[in-house]
Amino acid sequence: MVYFYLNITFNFLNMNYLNLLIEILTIISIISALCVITSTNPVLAIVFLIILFINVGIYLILMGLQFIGLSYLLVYVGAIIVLFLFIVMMISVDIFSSVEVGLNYYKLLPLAYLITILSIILFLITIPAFSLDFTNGVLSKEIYSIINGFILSFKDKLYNINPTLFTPLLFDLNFLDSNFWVYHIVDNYNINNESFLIFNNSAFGNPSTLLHKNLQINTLGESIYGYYSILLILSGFLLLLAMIAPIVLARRHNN
Amino acid sequence: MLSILYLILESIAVIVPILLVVAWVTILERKVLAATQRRVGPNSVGYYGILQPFSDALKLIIKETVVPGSANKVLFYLAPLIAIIVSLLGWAIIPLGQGLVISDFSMGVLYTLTLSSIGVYGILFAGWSANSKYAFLGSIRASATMISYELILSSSIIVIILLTGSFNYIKIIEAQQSIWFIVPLAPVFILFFIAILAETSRTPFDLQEAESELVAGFFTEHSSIIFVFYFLAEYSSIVLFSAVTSILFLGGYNFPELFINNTFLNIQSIILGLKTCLICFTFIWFRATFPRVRFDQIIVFCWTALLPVIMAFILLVPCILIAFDIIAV
Repeated sequence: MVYFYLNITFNFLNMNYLNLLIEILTIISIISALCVITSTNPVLAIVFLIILFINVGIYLILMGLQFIGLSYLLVYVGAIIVLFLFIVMMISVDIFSSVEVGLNYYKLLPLAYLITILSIILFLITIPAFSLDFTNGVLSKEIYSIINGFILSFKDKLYNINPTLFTPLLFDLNFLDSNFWVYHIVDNYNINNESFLIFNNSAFGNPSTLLHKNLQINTLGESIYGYYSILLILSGFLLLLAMIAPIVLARRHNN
Repeated sequence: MLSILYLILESIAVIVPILLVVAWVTILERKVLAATQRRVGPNSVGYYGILQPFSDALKLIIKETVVPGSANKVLFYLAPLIAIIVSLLGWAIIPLGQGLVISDFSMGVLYTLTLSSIGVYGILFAGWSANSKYAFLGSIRASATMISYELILSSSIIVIILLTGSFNYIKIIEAQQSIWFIVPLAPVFILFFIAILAETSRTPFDLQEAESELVAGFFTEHSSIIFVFYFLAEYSSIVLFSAVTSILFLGGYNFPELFINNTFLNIQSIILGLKTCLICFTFIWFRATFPRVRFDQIIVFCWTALLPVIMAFILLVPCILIAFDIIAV
């Protein structure tokens, strides 16, 4: 475990050095992110993107999320950016002309709005921590409460969540605390034994008990493919959209 | 302060022997090639020519460094550094004996795959930054091959992960106590070996060094000490992948019960070294035997022949495990 390894390394001068290292990583990643969008040479922009991704990967590993950090490096730095570099090196990219070509796609905007609205509805009714606030004048309060009630009842069926205890858990993360998942998931979600889909299969268990007895990677796998499998299917849907869009854009209209 | 000192000493105790091994693998290659072509080979520097690599290195170091005027200087110097750092970092998780490992990382296999995929940048940057057409073509060819065959490499490792249920190298070695994985997974071993040949750009797939078409591949413009870095990185990754192969398929530092010893000598490292030497010899044997494959044939062979076979194995092995109810957790 890299985290414990570093812990041994840094504990001779308190934990302050680890925090300092994390802050340096943050600063470097911000600077390189700025360089990505400001550099005029596309290859150098991608070099800065690589630096950014390596920083983020090391940051995640230092936070104790070793598997996610490593797979970040493996997938983004090892596969996706290599393809970017390949394309950028082989064709001479002119940024300004690509901006002009992009103006031709304004006539597709209604379709884009439609797809966006449908996706937002899909995410609203499936992702536990996803909710929109319509109270600022867009919709009247009654309609908002009706929509919200419908969404929450669907989520209740899907995850068997008690709506009164439901609170968003994003951006409230403290990964270094080993009891993090236990507090958040058990308290907020109030998981019962009988659930809507295959989750009542005791082989999967619920995410809170998994973390006590397994390695990080086992826990992640069992919760992604068991408890959160709906979200996995949704992210697959997103990837499908992302794959169809370039095919549509690259299709020639004259044949 | 002492813990830092221990870490540095540990790293030196691994890196220095690795660099020596790399030096002697080059002389092994020249000797074996000479023997297969019925020549003598290098035999004048030191006894039987074993000091030849050091004189070669000295010759390369005292040469003049020539940098092309229109090159991108930063990337030009950065690329060989990436190559050698990445190929030496891979040794941090290789268990050289029972408990003899710098870091017993729980996701060691993933770490190796990550490093081997980051190593592509050393080649891509070298080709682009030199601002030379030959270097660029060589780097594009080499990295296209490496990206394609990385798929075969990681897929064949997935089959082993299915059998052991762990990413940790020591767990994988312990799982082979009863039988080495080369026996039940012989076809996967063949695919894996083809993949590491392409991953280290060795002879049937060494398009980057196709001297008749490209001058010297992606390091055409690199000279003297930065060329030595590429040389070291190439052979270090050959030895690294040989060690990984012997850990994944040949039982690592394990050996049959016949050789149990109760003395204070730790012969586990020697066993691992012998297995690694065997795989290294096979690398050189392939170079002496097979001709170079054309570029489009390499890519077509990967995507239409090897990939369906390895996908079939990824389906077959879990089916067998579930049918006999022997799933490793």
